[in-house]
Amino acid sequence: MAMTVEPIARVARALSSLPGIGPKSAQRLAYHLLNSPDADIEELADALRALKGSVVVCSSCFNVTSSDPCSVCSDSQRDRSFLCVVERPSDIAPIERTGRFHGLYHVLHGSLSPSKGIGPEDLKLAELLPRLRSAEVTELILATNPTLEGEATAMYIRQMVASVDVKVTKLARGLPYGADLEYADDMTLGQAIELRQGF
Amino acid sequence: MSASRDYQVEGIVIRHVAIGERDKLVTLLTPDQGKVSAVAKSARRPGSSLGPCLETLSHARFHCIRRRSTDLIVQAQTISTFTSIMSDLWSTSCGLYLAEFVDACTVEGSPGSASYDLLLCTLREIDHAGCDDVVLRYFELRLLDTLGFCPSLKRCVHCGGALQPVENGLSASLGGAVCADCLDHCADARTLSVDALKVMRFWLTADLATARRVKPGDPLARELDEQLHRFLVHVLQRDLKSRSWLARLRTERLLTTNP
Repeated sequence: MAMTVEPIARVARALSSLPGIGPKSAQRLAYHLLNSPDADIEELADALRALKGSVVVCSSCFNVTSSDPCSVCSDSQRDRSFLCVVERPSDIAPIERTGRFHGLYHVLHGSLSPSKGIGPEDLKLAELLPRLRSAEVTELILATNPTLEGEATAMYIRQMVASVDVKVTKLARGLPYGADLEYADDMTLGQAIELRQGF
Repeated sequence: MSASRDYQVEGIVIRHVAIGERDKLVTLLTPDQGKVSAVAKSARRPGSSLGPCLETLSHARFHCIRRRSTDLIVQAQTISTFTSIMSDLWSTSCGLYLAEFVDACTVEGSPGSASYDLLLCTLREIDHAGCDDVVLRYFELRLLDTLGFCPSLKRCVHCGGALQPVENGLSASLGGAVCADCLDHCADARTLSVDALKVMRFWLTADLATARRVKPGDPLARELDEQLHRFLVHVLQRDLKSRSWLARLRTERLLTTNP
């Protein structure tokens, strides 16, 4: 049986606990790190140490940030009448990249999943209502993922905020840019036809 | 000569989990092969043509490649889209409950034709006419029946005697109805009203559309719910997570349709 030196095995064990990394990949990465220059290893170790210590959750929008409130919430140029609800902190970056949205965000940190036992109390849903009740928000944009759980979350929020005087919208569904109509799936194409717009 | 590695299968997605960066492990209920698991590469990538066919409750035809480990889904074509289910919180939640129940009750490799027909028929009914207690209880009872776990409702499971039209009992551990005389001898038996016994017997012989014509009142609906719930918890040795979600939706009255 092949023996692995304990420090390498320890790194491999730690790496294999990460999502998507199996024991073999973890071992390859451990040997790669062993052969890397000391400066690279120091940089990685510093970055990992700083990750937990310097990242906090914004008390307003619940995005992960290095300062509380986050750069979006503290930006006076942002349009506070629009509030966009996303499932995960990583969903904010692609929306920001479009350059089309200048409002604020609210991160749920997940989506409702009845079969996994994830309910409203496991998400940042209770914190949404006080934000909506502030006079500034006029439109709530539901940008949950177009999955069954994402749709269920959006429908739950729509019902939850029914008593609040705010316009509720949802991201449009349709064909991705550069797609070939022939290979579009029925549901996406059906929604694209249903939600067609004047041209 | 080796069998072809490619095969096509019709199925309903009853569960999926994300694996790796962009892949999905999908569990299908199929008529020919029962419950099947397969990997769909890059299915989580935006614009993937596979993605929409791999959501829970998707009914599609899948083109798969047999592998030594888990099979691979390479193409998928939607057969039917349950748009009404997808656009209503209560119906979506009921659909997810059915999928979780089927997943919990079935094992890979066992025949699945009857379970598949029942799930498809029930989803079509919910999509067409919404979901209520009758649909959920009917599905529970019929799936238990399909899998051989149906409560025995013909004769007393304790003494073998005929059941009289009086208040009898239902024992999950003994697997069926017990007569009034044996009720005290079965520790886990709960009283079973004549109406509840009749309704369950009727459901076992009727199709869903016919079963829905019976509208049990609140006390009877509650009794059927409790009896079948005890039974399925005994069979599964655990409760279903989505069941408490359905109860919560009722309590909070966050419903778009009246169940």
